[in-house]
Amino acid sequence: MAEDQTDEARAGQPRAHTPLLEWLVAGLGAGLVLATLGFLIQHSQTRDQTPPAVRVEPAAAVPVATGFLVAFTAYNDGDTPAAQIPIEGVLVGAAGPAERAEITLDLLPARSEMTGGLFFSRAPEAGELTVRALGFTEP
Amino acid sequence: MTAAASPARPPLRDFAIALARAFGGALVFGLPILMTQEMWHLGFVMQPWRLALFVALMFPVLAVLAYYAGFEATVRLKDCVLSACIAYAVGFVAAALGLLLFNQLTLGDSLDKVVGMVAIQAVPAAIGAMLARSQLGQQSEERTEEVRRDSYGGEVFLAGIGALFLAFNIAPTEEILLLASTMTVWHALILCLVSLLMMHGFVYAVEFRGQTTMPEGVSGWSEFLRLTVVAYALALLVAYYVLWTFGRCDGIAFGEQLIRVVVLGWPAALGAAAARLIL
Repeated sequence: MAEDQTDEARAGQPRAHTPLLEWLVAGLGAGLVLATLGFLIQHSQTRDQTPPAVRVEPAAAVPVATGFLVAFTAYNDGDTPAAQIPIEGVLVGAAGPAERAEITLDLLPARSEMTGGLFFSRAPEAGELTVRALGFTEP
Repeated sequence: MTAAASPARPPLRDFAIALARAFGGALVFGLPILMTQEMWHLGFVMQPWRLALFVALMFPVLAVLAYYAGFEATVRLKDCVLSACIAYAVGFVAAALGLLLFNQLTLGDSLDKVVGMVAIQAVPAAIGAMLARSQLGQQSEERTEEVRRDSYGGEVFLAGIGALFLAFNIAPTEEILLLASTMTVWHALILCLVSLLMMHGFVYAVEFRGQTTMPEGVSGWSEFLRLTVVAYALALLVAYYVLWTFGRCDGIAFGEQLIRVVVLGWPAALGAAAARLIL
């Protein structure tokens, strides 16, 4: 009987003395996990609703040792991720035959952006430069 | 604590043995990352200030880790700081030697490349060096540290270390990015719940060695909230921090970042749960 009581007293100890700080940390943890779940549920409402739409915006050309560099930012305006996206730059009318440069972006998640660059031997300002995405595969 | 007053400086031979053990730990824990292709480039591709922040943040973490599972059953702050310094020294040397051995570092390499490559590899190696005594070494000093580890702060801290270690091993791989893009949001949500259940089951339901027995009179819900949920939240934060450090979230929409975090959060959660059992 006496033993039971001590056992009970000992067993009751952790609950009675769970410090406030532990509950605060627990609340913070629960808040973070619930916020994660909540945001994911919200995200699921839009994800994959529209197909990948890759828009490429070239920056001004910068002279480099071997010619000119055109840095670009590729935006995926769709709600679906895209992979293996060829980015093609075509430069026409810069005193010579049309010049073409291409690079492939590995992965571009939905509503996200990625940067890259294309090299040209002639100054893109002298002609007309178009940079666009040619296609994609689904990851 | 009074009885286990830290012994006078250990003889040179003991220190040499401890150092050798630390090297062993650094290799065992550092090898998976040392032999991961992405990690050879990340060190000098990632933003230098993020790497600097990471290396600096890990120092106090190592010092606290020394308190819970260090080379010696240290009590004083000075000893913990000293242990962290030694762990970093071992980590840096082990990482540099490993990279030289694999011919990823050559003597003609530029300084910023060398520093970046070695620094990022040194962190997991330093954790390994610190854990070596706890895992590979003698068990004589285990008792005091065991008592410390059983405190709430100790449990949560070690869960964070376990999460960091596994997250760090897996975060550099391209697979995380690919998985996050291939999975639907519902997969991610289910993964969240599976991670939580798995963590709880790992520690309380499955009969593991060193299993924590649930104290009587404490409700399961209280344990779930105070330990499992907190450890999972910590695992997610650690996963996010590691992904951010590696630049895996740059330019990515928040929802997509979150899926990556949940994907990496799974191994991080496993690490957090396992740390509470193993350490």
